[in-house]
Amino acid sequence: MVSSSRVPGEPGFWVLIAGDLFVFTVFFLTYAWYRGGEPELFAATQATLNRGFGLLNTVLLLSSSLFVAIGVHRLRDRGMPASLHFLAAILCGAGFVVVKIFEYGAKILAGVDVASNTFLVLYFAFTGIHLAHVLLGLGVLVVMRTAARGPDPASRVMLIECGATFWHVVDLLWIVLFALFYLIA
Amino acid sequence: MDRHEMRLMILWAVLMLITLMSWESSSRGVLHNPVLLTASVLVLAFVKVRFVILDFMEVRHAPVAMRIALEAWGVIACGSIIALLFHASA
Repeated sequence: MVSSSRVPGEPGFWVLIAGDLFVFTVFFLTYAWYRGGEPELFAATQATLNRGFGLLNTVLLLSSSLFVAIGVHRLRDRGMPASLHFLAAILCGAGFVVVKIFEYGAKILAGVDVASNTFLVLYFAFTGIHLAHVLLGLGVLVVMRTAARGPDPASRVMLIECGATFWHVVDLLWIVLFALFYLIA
Repeated sequence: MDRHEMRLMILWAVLMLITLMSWESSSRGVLHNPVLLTASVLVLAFVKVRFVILDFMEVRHAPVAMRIALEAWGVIACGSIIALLFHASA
């Protein structure tokens, strides 16, 4: 367990994380502004989303974050193998992508007119940019797993911590997107 | 499994519980006032975000300035989103 005060991963990497949080905060505020102006349209279109998909994806990302956190702890603090934990996280992340493909596919097959509906424009834009983060994060998780399986994984703790931090950011951004697009009244 | 792993698993269970609470209150209309429902769902979401930052991202053990900055971000972002959601009806 981490005991003394320290920055997880490379301190400079946190500048990128802060930038990403800032950009998504602008997205969240943009969504809130437009929703505040057209509450009826947003509520009606939100009701057409499959909330079960949103819930399932939240469960998948929270679980993947747990596997990553335990994997980092085992590798760094206990000198134990972590590649299975990172593999479990990859499978959860891949599950998120599959669910999203089904979700987008259902909307596209239904022939919805995205351009005429502000909710759908923001939904596809922001969840799409988030999905790009998930795909990038999956690549990062594969690198982390490779590093964890290689010789002397302890020497790659910095890399693994940076990757883990990025994946947790992907998780926390989805937590807010899930609330905004699927849950609020 | 050591104490830290047990703690992480309990945190995951708490995050799942909060998720289901939000989902249930949103699905069943437990709160009839949409302002209250929206505010409670968003506050619960940012409570989850706070735990992810502090415990999964290990900011609980980071320098205090970093922790304060990220906690402040959560409070300001949550408050601003709620304010903007209801800007037209205020």
